[in-house]
Amino acid sequence: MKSSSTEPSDQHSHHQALMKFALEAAEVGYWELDPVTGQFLFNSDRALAMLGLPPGTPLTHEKALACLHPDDRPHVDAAIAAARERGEPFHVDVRVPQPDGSIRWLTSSAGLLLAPTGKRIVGLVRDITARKRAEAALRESETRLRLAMDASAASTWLWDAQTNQSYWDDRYHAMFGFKPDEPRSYEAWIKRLHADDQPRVLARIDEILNTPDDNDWNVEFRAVLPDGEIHLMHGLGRADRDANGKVLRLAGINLDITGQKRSEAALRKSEELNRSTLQALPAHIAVVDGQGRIVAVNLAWTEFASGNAARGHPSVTVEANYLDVCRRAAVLNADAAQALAGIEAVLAGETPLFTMEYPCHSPQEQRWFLMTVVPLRGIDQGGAVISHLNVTDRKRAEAVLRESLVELEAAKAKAERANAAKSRFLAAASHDLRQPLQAATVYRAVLNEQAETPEQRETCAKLQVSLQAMAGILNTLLDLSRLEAGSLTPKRSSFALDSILERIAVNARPLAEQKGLSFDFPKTGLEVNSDPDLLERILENFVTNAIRFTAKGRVSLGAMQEGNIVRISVMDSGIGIPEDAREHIFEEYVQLDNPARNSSKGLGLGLSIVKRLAELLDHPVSVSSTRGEGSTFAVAVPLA
Amino acid sequence: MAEDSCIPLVYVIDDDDAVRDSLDTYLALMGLDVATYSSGRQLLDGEIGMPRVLVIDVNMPDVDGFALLDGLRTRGLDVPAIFMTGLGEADVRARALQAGVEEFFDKPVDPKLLLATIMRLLD
Repeated sequence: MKSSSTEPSDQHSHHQALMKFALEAAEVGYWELDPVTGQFLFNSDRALAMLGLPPGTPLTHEKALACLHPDDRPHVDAAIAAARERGEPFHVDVRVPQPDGSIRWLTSSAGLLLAPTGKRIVGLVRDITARKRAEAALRESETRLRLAMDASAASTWLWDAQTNQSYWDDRYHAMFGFKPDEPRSYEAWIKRLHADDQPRVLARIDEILNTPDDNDWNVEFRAVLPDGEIHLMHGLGRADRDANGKVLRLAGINLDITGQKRSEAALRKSEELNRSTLQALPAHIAVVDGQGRIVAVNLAWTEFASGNAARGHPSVTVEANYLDVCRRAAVLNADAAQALAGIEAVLAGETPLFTMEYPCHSPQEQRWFLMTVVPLRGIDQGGAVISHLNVTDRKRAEAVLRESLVELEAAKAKAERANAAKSRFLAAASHDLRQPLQAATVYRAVLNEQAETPEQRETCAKLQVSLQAMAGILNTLLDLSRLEAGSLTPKRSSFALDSILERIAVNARPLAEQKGLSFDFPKTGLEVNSDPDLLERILENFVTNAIRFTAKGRVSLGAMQEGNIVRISVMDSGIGIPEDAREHIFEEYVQLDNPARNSSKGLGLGLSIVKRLAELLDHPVSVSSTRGEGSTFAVAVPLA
Repeated sequence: MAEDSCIPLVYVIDDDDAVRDSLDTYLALMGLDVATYSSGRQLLDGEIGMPRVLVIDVNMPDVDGFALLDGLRTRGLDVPAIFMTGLGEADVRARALQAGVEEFFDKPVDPKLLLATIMRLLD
């Protein structure tokens, strides 16, 4: 509203009164300022009220400015100056801070009046707070809508049914694969629809056009984009109708839900997989909520429950409270009490896992189950997954295994007893055989003393060879029984090697000479560290074998120092041992199949005893041989 | 030897009849005066006499070689002893040496070796 000039007359006063009335009715304030003095010459009370001042308050330019928001004061000042200097009318919106912190918006229009009393600036002022608030609300609403559209990736569209004009935003344009310069038309949009979905979409449009009060557009359809890619769209909107119910336009938003649908499909597939897996599991599985109520079970659980129900037990399935079931059972069954405590502990979050094995025998069969309880994660009210797995087969297998182990232990003990008995028998037999052998040896000596002819003496000599062979076999048996009983422990000492070699030579020489063999034994003068008795046994075996298996030539007993080792060897000029037989020669009961040996005696135990004694003493033994030339058996002993 | 006027006395104590008899025969043939006993008890229960050498079988029922040696020493008879054993365990040999036994032989002992040992102990 602009100010206007007037004349001082009665008519003028009348006009002025009318004007005041009109201004009051329109809720408009009026003011008049002397731009030279800065004094307001007139203020309507409404104008004062708008500034927050009581009626009749004398007002100056400064005082009026002070009522305004500090940011608005400069441009109000500048507008009044411009009006005063150049007569420019102005229009300003200003803010008046209120005691409660809110803002009152005023708009004022003013102009310069050249009155007979001098320059006056006159203006009108109106409260526009409500409008400003509405504008702000609208702006906020628009912002929110835009944010929502952006967030949901929604686009907007409008179809004018009267003119068949289509309008849509740039996002919609891009969503359907239109190039920026392509025209926006209903026909262009229809072409984008998937051929299978087009009839349904068009039918829905027809339906809305022809059915009063059917205004909701809520349609999913596929769009085929120019690159051939298929997108799933969801259109939401409303139809506007005229008074006659005729559709004016259809408008709404559009969402591309391809990604969402894909995730949903993937989620469904995953859930289906989980469900199938759960169903296929042999364990009986139930899911309970925080109060122990069963909310889901798998197939195995259902089958087990129906089996129980068929036998007259209450059916425990969905809706039943599993804790109650356990409580009832716990009265008579300690396992149920334990299970109850376990489930309660898991539900209370006291433990992340509870397991127990329990028997569940029916008259038909003995069964065992493994119960497992784990918390259900991701559920606000808590809960747990309870599974019972039939472990009867495993239990049976364990029992069989235990039995087998017991049997095995028994068999082992029996074998050990048998072995010990064999060793005892060997020792006893060896002892008992020694008595007659001792007597026979002495009687032979008696005979030898009484012999008068060379023939008698020769017979006595042959008898002695046989008796000595028998003594050797007895010693072998005794050694074997001791070795097997593990009662033989080496007693090592340092001693002159010649002391035992001489003893061996004394016994061996007559036997060798009797066979027409020469026996060589040069003294060694060496000291060794070993068990003299056991070492003597080894060498006796070597020498006895050498004499036994050598038909002609010689047997030599000797030793050679090699660093810290003394190698004691027994050499013979016998038939030799084939290479492939040498590795087996130290095994028990092995005698080489050759004519020279067939005539010999012995159990084939001698060298196996040598091997065991040598292992006991940690003395390596070796054999070398040349077929037809002879063999050498050796044992390596540490130098003293 | 056999013609020696001062015939030493050798006691053979062995529970095996054949061993006892053969040694009796052989040692007598070699000129020694031998007395034999089939058990330690038999010797301890009777008049013991004055033997110069004892040839004792270690493993005998009732009183074994060690017990016999102890029993004889208790009666003030301390003469050299030769032990013979059919089993020849190492600990028996050690025990025998500890008990002051002069020689220890595994059966079958060479009669000449036994004779030589007895003669040495008689000297």
